Amino acid sequence: MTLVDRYVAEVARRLPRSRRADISRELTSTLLDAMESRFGPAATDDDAAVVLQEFGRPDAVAASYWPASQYLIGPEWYPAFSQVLKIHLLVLGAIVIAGLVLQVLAPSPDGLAKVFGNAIQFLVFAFGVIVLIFHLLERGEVRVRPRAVDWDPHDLPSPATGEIVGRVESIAAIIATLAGFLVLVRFQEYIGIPVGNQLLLNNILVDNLPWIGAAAVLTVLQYIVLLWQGRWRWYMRCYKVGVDLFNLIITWRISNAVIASHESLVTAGVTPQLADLSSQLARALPFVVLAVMLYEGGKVLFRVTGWTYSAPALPRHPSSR
Amino acid sequence: MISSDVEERLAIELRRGVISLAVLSALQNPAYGYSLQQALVERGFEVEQGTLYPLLRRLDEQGLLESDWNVDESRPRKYYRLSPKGAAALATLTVQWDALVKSVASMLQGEAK
Repeated sequence: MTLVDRYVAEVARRLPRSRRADISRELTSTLLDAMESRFGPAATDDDAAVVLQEFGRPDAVAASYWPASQYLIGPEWYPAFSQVLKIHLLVLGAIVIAGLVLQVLAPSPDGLAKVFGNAIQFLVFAFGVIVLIFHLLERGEVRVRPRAVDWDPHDLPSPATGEIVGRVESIAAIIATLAGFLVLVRFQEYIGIPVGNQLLLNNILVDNLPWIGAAAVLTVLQYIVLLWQGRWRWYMRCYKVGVDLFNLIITWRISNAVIASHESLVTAGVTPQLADLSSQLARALPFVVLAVMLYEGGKVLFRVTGWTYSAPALPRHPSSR
Repeated sequence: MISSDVEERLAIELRRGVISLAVLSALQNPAYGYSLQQALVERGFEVEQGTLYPLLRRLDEQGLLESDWNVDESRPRKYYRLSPKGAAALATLTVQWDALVKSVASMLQGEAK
């Protein structure tokens, strides 16, 4: 077997089956022509090596014969793919919420593990199916092309009326808030410091659960309005500040309750060091929450008031003068 | 050097844009792959082999070329030639090419002044 035969075989095994024979035949004849024109009819394997080297690596040559697209999902289909992926995540969120509600109404021992286990399975499985479908569309196995949607420049939203809030961002916030609260409700009897057969500090969570619930409802309401309006209006900014303050007050209540339990912790058998630590953490907590709020608020203030770095205008192109 | 890399890419893109036109034009007379490549090189049109051969197949599949195997020579060779559809496409592209050359040339002259 000559070097050319080996080379063509290497290219051929990477080619689409339907064109393999014809391309191989043409490639062989082309390579022999090239060798003959450069080295004469008695070209050796060493001469062949020179020509093959110039022709390129077998995998690269084979790749050049494949249809234009070698994307898993190319630019043409990507927008639709990312849209479907978002819907997939929203459906997943809805499933988790439904599972958690069910667990609160009718708790079962391994219920939560099942909810999240199924959610992860669904996440991976559905993701795989979506990628597969879009890859088939990309490959043209299914003869469909993305629909060109008509649009009217008059329908474009005005950027002057407040910062845009992504729909997915709002829905994700609603789902996260509800899921977090439902997990707290479902597991309220397990959260605390276990000492012997007691669960210390658990009463603080149970006492504050209605307040936490109220904060969750206020947060969900905020995101429902944002979802509906699609952008931040000034009164929603004010509302958010209100919700933040409410959260801060709840944090304060919990923090004070933990500090006040110092004595009872020690009497119940907790080491003084651990009791001190819990008090110190409780003291720091409201300040940490406040710092995060101020930081987030400051960022928004910077964006809204336009105190941002703006790039200098580009020099005009000579032809536009 | 970044700028020379960029320039090289631009030059390749520029050539790639007109390869189809050059190939259609050259195949007014039948030719097989290697002879076509040599003919293009002789006229000063360098084309990578990795671009030329797949392009021939694509144009063939699009019906712009006709091809058949000639087994009468020393080795079998696949000959390509312009199809009627290809001849129509060549005429259209030629008109566009002339307009493009004229417009770009006038711009380049303007810049040079």
